[in-house]
Amino acid sequence: MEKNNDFLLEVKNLKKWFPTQHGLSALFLKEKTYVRAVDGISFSVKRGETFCIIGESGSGKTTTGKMIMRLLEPTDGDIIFNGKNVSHIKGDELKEYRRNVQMIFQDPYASMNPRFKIKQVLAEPLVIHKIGDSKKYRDENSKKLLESVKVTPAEEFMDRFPHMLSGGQRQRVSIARGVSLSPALIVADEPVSMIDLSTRAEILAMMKSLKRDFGLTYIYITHDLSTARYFADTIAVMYLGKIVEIGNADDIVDNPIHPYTRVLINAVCEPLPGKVKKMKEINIKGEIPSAAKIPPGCRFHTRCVFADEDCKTFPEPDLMDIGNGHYHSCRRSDDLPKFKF
Amino acid sequence: MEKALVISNLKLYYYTSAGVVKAVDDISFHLEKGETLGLVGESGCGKTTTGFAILGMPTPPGKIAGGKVIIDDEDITTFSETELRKKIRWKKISMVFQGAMNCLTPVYTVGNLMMETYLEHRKEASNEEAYERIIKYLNLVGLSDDIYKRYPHELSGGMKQRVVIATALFLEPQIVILDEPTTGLDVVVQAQILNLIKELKQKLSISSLFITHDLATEAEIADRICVMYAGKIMEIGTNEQIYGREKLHPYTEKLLGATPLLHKKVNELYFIPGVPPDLINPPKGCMFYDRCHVRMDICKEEGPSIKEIEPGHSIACWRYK
Repeated sequence: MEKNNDFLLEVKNLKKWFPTQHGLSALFLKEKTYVRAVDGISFSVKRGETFCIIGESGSGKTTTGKMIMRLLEPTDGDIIFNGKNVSHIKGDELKEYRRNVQMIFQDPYASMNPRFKIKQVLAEPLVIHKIGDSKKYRDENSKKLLESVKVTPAEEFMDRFPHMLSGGQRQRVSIARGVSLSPALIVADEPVSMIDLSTRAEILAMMKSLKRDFGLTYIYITHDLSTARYFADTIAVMYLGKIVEIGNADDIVDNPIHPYTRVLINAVCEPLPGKVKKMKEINIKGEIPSAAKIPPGCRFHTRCVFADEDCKTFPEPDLMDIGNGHYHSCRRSDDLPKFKF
Repeated sequence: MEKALVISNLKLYYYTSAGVVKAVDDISFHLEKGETLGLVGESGCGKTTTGFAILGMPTPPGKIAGGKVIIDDEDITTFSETELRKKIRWKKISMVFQGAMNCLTPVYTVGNLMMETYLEHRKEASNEEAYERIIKYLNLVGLSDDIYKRYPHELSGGMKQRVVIATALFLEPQIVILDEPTTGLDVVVQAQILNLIKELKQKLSISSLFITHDLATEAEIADRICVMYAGKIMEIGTNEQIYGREKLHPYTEKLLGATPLLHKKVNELYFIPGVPPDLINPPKGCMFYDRCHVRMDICKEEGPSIKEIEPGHSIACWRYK
């Protein structure tokens, strides 16, 4: 495969289908049914950019993140990292890959071993990857990492247990653990959604500066458009396992095409006066369908207020290019009213 | 305007083995009939504790250490537990607890759950009457009749939250305390729930206290905003005064700076450095002194009292003296 230097990660037609039957019944059933959590998505992440995947719960964004981490094996499609196909690698190769790709989890309370001291939490990746065998080196390293995420005084925190830290501090420690192997790519799955508002901004700012210092690339998974605008360069909007719109962050927020993106933008609350008397305009019907029963035609038609008969029957539209790297998958885009926030 | 609820000099202290934690310290505010008052602040600033204090049910080792909660000319802090249960809770004030939607009893149907609550409070009521009332309120929050027979696991997050809101409202209280009713929901569902609360406010002309840490949500829903920090009220003002951003308490200013705007590209978000003070050994002067960007010498020595700087807008800061 030809090596493309611009892109650190390329995802091609990636799928994850979870079978819904197990055991004996699965053997006897003729037709197998699947939960199509991720149903054929493609995108490319440039070196040094922050790529944001946004969507509701159940849209498949976390599953995508886990496949990129190779915590889940893709059902179909390719993940190409640094020009190398990593979608089915195993053993030492996988271990080497995971050194380059790290993850920050949503829940800082659950992502650390409660019986480990902070210095052990931070040394664990080094132990696994057999980097620097002396205790002194690892302690030094932990101290440096804690300082880089501003958990100071570092000497004091190194000997504490996770339960002695606040949520914000824990999340900083998990970010420090994420960068400890100097990875090229970090998958951050809702890193600030459980953090207090005043600290949230601080953590995002810190992640931005780490990106500069360590030359990182981020995949930022979130449901919060307002932090995405601030933090991300590119936004991909996912709905029920597919990307429905993708483009640079400003384009997506200021000029959204797909009806679903518009709903997400309209649903955002902003701290501005004069909104109490007005109802929020939310152009969406019903609830997100189950990924086991994805509607035929355009998968959004059951909830779309602009859908016509053809949307139900026509084959699902592919992403259409409207210039400047902005793609969407709404076949009625020309008939939609002009977007107003 | 008539006042639905008056809180004066309310104190709730936790008597722990390490010392007395002044979780809510000498706060006063009122709630007008039909209005929504927003209570905002970081976690641990005493928002939820205030809600519990109003209902007269501090979590042990907490105790109400002083002050009054006046509703219908009666100070309910003097009521006994039985009186509170019979006359106040759910009849006059109800509460949507934080995360209540995830705590619905899994073995009860929505109908069972609501029926039990109703009959407990209206002992003389018949089952038919209760059923009618439940259906009426389920419909009011946008749910269909068949939800009555459903179990919580069959409902989505948004539907469960609607059930909880219906349960808080169906005994027709005058005041409802909503504690983070939209946290943990998806953005779209969150917006739908906010619309529902707005609609119910118009239909039922109910007074409510809306507790959240998110100033952006508050902008959508609250007529007036009350900002709390370390157990004290820092600022009270109308929606326009707070979000107009002209005269603000430095803490409110910082909180607003940390809330991202979607339609304005900002390169830097502001954050509040440091952590809230230790409430067992609170600082002598202003609670916000350590984190304040415009502090003066006097702030360290003496805490400012809250003062009205323009009609309906009070701030506790030496800058406005």
